[in-house]
Amino acid sequence: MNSRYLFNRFGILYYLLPALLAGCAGGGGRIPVRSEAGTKAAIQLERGIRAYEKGEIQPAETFLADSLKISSSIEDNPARITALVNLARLNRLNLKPESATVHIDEALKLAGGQPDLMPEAAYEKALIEFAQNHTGKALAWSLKSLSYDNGPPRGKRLNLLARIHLAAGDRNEAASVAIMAREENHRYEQADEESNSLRLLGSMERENGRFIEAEKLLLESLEIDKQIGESNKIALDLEELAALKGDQGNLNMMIEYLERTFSVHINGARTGKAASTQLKMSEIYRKAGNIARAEKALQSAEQLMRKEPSNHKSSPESASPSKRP
Amino acid sequence: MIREEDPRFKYLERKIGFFMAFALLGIAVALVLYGVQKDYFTPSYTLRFTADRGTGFSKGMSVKLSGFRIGRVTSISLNEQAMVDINVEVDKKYRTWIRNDSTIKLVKEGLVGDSILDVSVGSLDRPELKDGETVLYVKTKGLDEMAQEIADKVKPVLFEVRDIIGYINNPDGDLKRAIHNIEVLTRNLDGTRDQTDKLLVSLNGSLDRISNKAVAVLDSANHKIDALDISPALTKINSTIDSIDKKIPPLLDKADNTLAELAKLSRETRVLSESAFPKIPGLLSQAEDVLFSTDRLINAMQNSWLFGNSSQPVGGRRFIRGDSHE
Repeated sequence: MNSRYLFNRFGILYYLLPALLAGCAGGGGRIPVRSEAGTKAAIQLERGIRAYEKGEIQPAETFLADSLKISSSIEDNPARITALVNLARLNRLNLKPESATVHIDEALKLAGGQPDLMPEAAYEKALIEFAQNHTGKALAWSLKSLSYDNGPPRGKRLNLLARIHLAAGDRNEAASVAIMAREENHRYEQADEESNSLRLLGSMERENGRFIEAEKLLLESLEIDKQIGESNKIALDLEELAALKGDQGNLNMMIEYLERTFSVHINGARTGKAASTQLKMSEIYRKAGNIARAEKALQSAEQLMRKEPSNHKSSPESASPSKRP
Repeated sequence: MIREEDPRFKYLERKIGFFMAFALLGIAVALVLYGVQKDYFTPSYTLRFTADRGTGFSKGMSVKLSGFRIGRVTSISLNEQAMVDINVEVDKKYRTWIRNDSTIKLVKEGLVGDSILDVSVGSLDRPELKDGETVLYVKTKGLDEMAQEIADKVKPVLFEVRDIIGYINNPDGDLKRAIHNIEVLTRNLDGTRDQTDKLLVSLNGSLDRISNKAVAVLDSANHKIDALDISPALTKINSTIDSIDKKIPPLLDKADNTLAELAKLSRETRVLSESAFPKIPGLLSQAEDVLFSTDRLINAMQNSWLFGNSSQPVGGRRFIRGDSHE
């Protein structure tokens, strides 16, 4: 079989195959073509989010500001709102509530005509107000964010609403909303938010003195957080379990959970929280009459606190997910 | 018989009447003046106080305020606690100065004067003392007490003085012996002076001899220095310097060459960078273009039926994760 033979036999396929592929590619309808500026804005936004996830706060802010600038230059309002909400979130997590408020207010002003972006903007506004202890405003914005859509993010918005109710002292309402949140998160497989719901419910059950139910919920939350590998949340679960054991008067188990909490914090590079855990352990040891261990824990806490300021300056814990192992 | 018609007895009854009336008037005036002097006609009120002993007090004793007599002691009596109750009458017009924080004390006017009671002026914001109320008595020290106190203070000093005098007078004491030693020393000073004079004369002769010997030594040293020859050492040093002088120029030439090479290298690098740098932005732009084209291509592929559902479109994750518990 020489080449001429092959060409005569299958030559037609050389022409037909590309034509078939081209037809298939074009068959999906008209491909939406983004402008170069729009693409640049999207890339900068993506870079900003990626930088934040790596714990590089300053570059993240620069990229997001750049994205906002580019999208503003072409009056791409959805992109502007997205960049503004992200900037607000970045500032809130970086403990700059004033700056966060400025950005989110601008985003909300623009999001009036964008029902697909309004829920996230309202949710962020509620988080910012809640972070500043403005419970009334947080509640109003949280309800507004829930009035728009019923998609996967509904669970996290319900979780926030439950927390706000709890902070406002409305425990019954908080419990019923947290149960709804748990169901929503479970339905949409939002594991991280489902664990938040479980922890919140567990904490409320503990405060109500229903220790067995509380332990069950908290262990379930811990299991989910271990599956998704959220170090900070694992520590939160362990802290809650330690508090539960404390309420039950089981100081040995409480110490054990606090030891685990400390180990998670210290290996997750959260020195401040590790120091705070050691302080708690010192108190418990003292209460249990083990003065030598209490003194040792106190010394360890002091050493960690001396290290803490430099760590805090470089990257705030709340705004650096990359620090989580 | 003397006749009643004697002119000397004429109006005798009237004259006696006038005389009697005048005498009675004189007595009355005297009594009034006495009363005024004794303050019997001055409106007054009574104040009382209690002292631990009655020594120094007497009935009629003056009571003074800021040096002015304002009343007198009217009664002194011993009470059931063996203390002395004393009442004083004070002129009412001075009432305004005597308040419930005023004090009264027994003092002497001058060193040998009479004893009086001295009342202090009270604070104007305190209430005035009323008739029959008690004024605070402040005990003052009597002369005997003061004398005893001074004696108590002076006694230790006198004992000290006696001890010091005893120490000075002790024939075996340090002071007496020191004085004796000074006396002996003074007595021997004449002999010491004679010996010192002799020593100075002898020292003068010795100095002359030392001076002569030093001159001789210096002359000898001078001769020896003149005899020394340092020219070979100097020659050696000169030859060494010459050798160094010969070796330095080639080294400097080498350094010059190296520096020239370096300058040349730097120039070439600059030329190279000048030609390369302008190209970098272009290259970056081209790289960016390639990336954008790739992005468009991927975007288009993701919208095609073949790859559309297999991966997430670019820009799908638009928000930083907003955890409800952060």
